[in-house]
Amino acid sequence: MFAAVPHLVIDGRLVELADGDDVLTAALRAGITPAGTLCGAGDCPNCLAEVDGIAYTRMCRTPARPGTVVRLQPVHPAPPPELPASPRGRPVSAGPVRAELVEVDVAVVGGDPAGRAEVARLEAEGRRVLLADDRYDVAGLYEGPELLVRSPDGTLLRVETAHEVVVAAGAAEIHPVCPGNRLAGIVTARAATRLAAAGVDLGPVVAVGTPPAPAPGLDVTVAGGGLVRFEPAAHEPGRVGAVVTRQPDGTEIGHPCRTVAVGLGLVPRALLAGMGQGLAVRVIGEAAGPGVLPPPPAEGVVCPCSGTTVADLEAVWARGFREVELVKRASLAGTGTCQGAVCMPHVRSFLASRGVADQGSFTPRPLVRQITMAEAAAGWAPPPVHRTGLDAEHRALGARMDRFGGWWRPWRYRDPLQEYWAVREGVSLGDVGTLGRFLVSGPDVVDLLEHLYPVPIADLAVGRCRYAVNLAESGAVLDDGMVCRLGEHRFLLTFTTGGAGLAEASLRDWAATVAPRVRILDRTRSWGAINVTGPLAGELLARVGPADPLPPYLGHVETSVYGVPCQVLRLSFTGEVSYELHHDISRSVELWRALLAAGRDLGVKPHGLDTLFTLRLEKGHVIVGMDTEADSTPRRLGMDWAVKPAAKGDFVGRAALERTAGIPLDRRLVGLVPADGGPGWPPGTAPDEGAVIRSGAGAGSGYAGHVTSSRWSPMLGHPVLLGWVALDEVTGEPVSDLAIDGRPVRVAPTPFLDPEGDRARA
Amino acid sequence: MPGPEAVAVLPAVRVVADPVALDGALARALGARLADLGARVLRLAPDDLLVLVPGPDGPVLGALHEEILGLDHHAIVATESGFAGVWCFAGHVRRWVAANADWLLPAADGLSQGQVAGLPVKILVDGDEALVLVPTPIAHELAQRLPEEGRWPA
Repeated sequence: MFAAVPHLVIDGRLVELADGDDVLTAALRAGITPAGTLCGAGDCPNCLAEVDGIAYTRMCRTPARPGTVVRLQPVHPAPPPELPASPRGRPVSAGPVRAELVEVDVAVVGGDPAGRAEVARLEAEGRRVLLADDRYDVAGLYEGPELLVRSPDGTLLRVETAHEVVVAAGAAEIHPVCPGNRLAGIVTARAATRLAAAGVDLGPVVAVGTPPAPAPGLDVTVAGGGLVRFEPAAHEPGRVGAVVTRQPDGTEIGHPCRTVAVGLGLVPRALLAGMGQGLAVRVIGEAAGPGVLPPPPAEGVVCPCSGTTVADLEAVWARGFREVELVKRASLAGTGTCQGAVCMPHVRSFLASRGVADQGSFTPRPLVRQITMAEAAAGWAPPPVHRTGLDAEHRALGARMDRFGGWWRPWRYRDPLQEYWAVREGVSLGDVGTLGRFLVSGPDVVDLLEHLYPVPIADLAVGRCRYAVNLAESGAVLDDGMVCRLGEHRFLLTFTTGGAGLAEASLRDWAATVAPRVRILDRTRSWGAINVTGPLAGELLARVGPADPLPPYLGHVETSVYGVPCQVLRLSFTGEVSYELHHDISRSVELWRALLAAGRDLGVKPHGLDTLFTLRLEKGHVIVGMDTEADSTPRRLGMDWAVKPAAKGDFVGRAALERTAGIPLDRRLVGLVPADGGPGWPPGTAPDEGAVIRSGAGAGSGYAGHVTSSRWSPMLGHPVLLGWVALDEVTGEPVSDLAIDGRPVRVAPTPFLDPEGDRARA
Repeated sequence: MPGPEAVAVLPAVRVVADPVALDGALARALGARLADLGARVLRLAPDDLLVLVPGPDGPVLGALHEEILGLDHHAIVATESGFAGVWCFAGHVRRWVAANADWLLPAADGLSQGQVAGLPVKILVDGDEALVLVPTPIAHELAQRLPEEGRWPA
């Protein structure tokens, strides 16, 4: 009969484990002993290991499970060069970590008797209490007060308390600082008792200071006198073979042993209490005690995390550092994994021995326990990417989809040149269901819009649309879109895809401030929209039966198209005749398919964002956020025409525009094309967006600006660009002799194509 | 109870109106009329009502027009396809929120709104059931981020 014995693997070696073992206990029982003093209580860094791929894991805090893979991790001073390097690129994943929010009245940290008594008392009062006892790892204490806690099952808990956090974390044992304290085989007194009780054979144990409590199998000899040093075993140089103590008469006595148990006193576990200063945090039990400072360290490693020695502290002292916070920063003592739990009593004692009044410990900050990247990301989710009602249609047509402005959008279907010519010479469909759209209504609505836009609104006739920018109070352009008057007191506002959120915030803020009697309904996620564009757009729409005559340029009408109720807007972002059909998102697919079917013999094709960017650039249309910057006023953008201060009263940004009107500009957004007679760019290519624009020839050339938008224009046969260009201080005009990538360019008026807009108005 | 794959657009009507008018209409005949039509009323904000419609929206639209526009003729009453959702066990949803949000669902029945698993959600708890709603354009994200059947947080 095969009896399965559970094992874990430590540095490639099978190690038996027993019920209730933590990884450290299993390792010690198998004779694997990490270097340095072991506390077995999670206070020190001496049993850190890589456990199942996660580095900096305390073995003493990790339950041993069959199959657990452990790699011992050197702590001090650095990984020896002979150690094999960790394999690069090895995926280490413990899987997603579950996070959970817990709300309680009081969280009690620490399971010492004082903590348990406090829990009983609070529960008797009817309080909701969470006890984070020794099985939990408390990683941090934050305002609230709120705790970040790793639960025994690995769930990361965010514990929000309504009342307070009680710290009953107890006290930690003081570690020895003397020559030889990095040898293996040194344990604290409490650890000796615990390990012996768990069946670990510690061999002959010599106790220094307070001896360990009795435990089965614990064979202790008490060494009198003060601790002087640990000496290595003759046949096992990394392990302690004797401990030397000094008697009151000054003589030193060596005590041969297999293990040394040191009982040098207790210091309160103060890290959480230190983080809780100024918060509703109460400290009780041993954690609130005064503790004792050890004798001043004379020689040896003080901080096992950073490898800081007494000699290092002396060097820092010699450089004039006296404050505990500065000694920490200068010596690195206390900056490691255990956050000073081991070294800080010795640092304080070191300073006290030189006449510095005790300043307590340094200011601890989260995290007090290491967490993994998976834990740091637990409970976080990426922002969603929206899909229009036509998303599946685009994908079915083979579109390459891309994220833009928080939406999945078709970048291109097949050949962008075919898409382009369909718009310019035939008819094409574009999915513009990503535009921000808001219905606004109410007795104050005209006042609101007059305040919100820098162009007149009151004179806009019902059935008409007007292009308008939105300004920040700084006068910079926040967004742009259309204002469509649906009725005397009702409007439809459109905004850009990426700017809709900001525009909505501005709309609602100003409504609350200047025109409260306004109703606002966001239709952005409720409506789809299809842009039917191209010289044959009207003919295509006629085939699908609009119930009413189509609107004129910059007009709109509410009608049905192919039986689908639509708000039809006659605009032009592409430079061609365009009808935007805004409709209920649930009807998008049938409308799209009907239009594609009806226009088959017209060569109708959908176009993607790639093509749209070329079309709009030929028209010189600015894309807010792409061509604009945070300080881009209409004047800087060459869009003074979009502001009509003489025709209206106050509006958002007016004061800033007036204040800055007389200040000379240092740069402006301009249109650029290859200079006549220059080498230009190969057909179909254009400078990179973001390319540097230089002024002057040869070595004397300097930075003059950068390109914001750049495309090859199939219609014009050369690249067309928008870019920021420095202005001459004297003339106020763009600096001369411009070049991009060594090729000369010149400033050109926009629109590059059809400057009179005849095509759009046709 | 269906799984996340059942996330679907919920037919509805949306009303934005003067809060006093909404209060008045609901307190008078509108509340009863909507209940008779089997509609569920979600008060998203003092001036914002989402009415989930069990069938064709015509009767509900008619009732809302009649009862609200008389009190606030500037009110906007419109068909709403902008919300998608799925009914789940309320206990499951409570644990999903606890594991994926900075807030907890209140113990009492009713509407809650906030971010869960990175999504702006509205949750209507009604006894043992809960309706999880998101804007229609991110319905696919809700379907991905809700646990599959049998994988709800314990």
